[in-house]
Amino acid sequence: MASSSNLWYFPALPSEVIEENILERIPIEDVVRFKSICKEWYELFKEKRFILKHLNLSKERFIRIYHDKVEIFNPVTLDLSYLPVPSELRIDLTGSSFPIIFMIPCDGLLLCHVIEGMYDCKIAIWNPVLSSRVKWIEPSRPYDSCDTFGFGYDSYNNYKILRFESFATSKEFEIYDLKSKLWRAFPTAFDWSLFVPYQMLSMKGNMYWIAETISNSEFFIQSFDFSRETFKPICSSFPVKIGVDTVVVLPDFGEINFVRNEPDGVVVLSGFGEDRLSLLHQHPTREIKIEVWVTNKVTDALVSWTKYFNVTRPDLPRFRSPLTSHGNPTYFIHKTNGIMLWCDKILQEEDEEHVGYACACFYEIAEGEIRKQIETRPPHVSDTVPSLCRCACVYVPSLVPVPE
Amino acid sequence: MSSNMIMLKSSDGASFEIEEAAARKSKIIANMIEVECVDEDKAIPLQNVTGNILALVIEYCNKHIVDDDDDVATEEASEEEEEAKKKKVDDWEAEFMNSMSLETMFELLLAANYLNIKSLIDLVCQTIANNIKDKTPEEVRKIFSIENDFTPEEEEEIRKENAWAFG
Repeated sequence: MASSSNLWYFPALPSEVIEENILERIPIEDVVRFKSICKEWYELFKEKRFILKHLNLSKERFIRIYHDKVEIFNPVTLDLSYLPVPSELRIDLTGSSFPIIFMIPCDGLLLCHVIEGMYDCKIAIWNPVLSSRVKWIEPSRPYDSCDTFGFGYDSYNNYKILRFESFATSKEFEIYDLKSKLWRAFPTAFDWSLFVPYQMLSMKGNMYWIAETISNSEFFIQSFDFSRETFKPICSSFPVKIGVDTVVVLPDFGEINFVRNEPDGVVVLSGFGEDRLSLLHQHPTREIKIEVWVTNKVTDALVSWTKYFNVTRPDLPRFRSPLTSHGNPTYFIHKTNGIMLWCDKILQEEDEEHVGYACACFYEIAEGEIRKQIETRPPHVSDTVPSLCRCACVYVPSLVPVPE
Repeated sequence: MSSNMIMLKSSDGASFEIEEAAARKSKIIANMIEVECVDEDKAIPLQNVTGNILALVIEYCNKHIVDDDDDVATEEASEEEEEAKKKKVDDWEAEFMNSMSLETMFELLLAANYLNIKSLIDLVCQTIANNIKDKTPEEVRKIFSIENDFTPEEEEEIRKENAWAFG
């Protein structure tokens, strides 16, 4: 690769040093741009070994679907990239195509749950930083709007999808193996249900949700182990009091929105490092307060919560408390002991007619302080475009190709 | 820990005295010491490293003489102490790499690669990676002396497919 014509004064580095040690440390946005450097790099970026090494060094981004754009935000460099939503996943405000309602990230791939109109559901896998190729996953029986999905991998690194309905009447769950392309059903009894179904986390191949027991409404963390193919409840005690919801139907751009009548605050589930959980809770009190909790390792015999920090400030964002993923805040704990948070900041929350007009804001918050606050999108007031983002998540971008 | 000193000699004839423990950060030198091909009176000749670069390598090794040496893991330092120590090393490394030219970084990387000092390779590579971030493909080609072997049409195609990253 090294050119013989020494036009440049830099000493020529052996190509293996460049490829093995430097390129794997370059942020995904640059890797994608550097595909056009030469054929050798173009091929390198498609090699499995490189992809895995790059993934291991890749850092968190926020990803949000807003109107017809995907926004990817790097909370460290504050760079914001805009990608087009693939035409197959395009949100069409006339209601004729498939809006994404949930995204579950795993190794830089996103499992997207899309819904057309009220009932027609589909799921697809997509890697936003690669081409616009979308892989649709055919169901064994038609998908339902009550389906919950999980996305992870087993100990052989096979990607798998979980499908279930967390109702007392449900009798089974299904697993789709992306290698064999087959769905398998497993009988189980559901004595629990998901409290906030859009609050889910895929971490190290396994899934986590906030669940509640059907018998006495006790909250806990439900997990699903894709290697053992079983549900496993962890953290029997729950650190914050969250409300029992009252379902209210509100028309919102042709969809049903479920909102709680008297919310006990907003709760957001996140990962902490690679093997711990974190929970953000906002009390619905007059003063604006955010609490962050963390667990010990989820692989420990006993998993319990400890307080990470509290912050009470009038200039903190006040979160909307819906039961859909619209405008849902997303965060993760950064190595600087603060949280990186990206949310829709509601502008006129007391004004019912204007609920939903919001601007996107990024915050770096730590114990007692706001270290950074940046408006990443100005408020968009329009009758046709919802101003809350569709759905958002924390995700580690990768070059992992969408499985065939 | 003994403070045996050994001598290193650069390609341009400069001699450097360094503690054996520091020199052992280099797998190559550690290996030479193991097989006892190091004569106490003679300097180890390093034909691929110039004096100014060797001085940087030695500065780095002296600073990292204790840390990440498995057998000197101190008794249960508290988490805060560990963090404070790590931060000190990080700050030192940032200062060490700060204001170093890309050309010097390349030479330092070649030296670290030749001497097989893993942590220094990682540090320099991360710094180079940070440096080429936001560079255009043309600039990156120049930096790494790479010839563009795409036809203009092929290059345009790749740019179009990944237009968002060229923004």
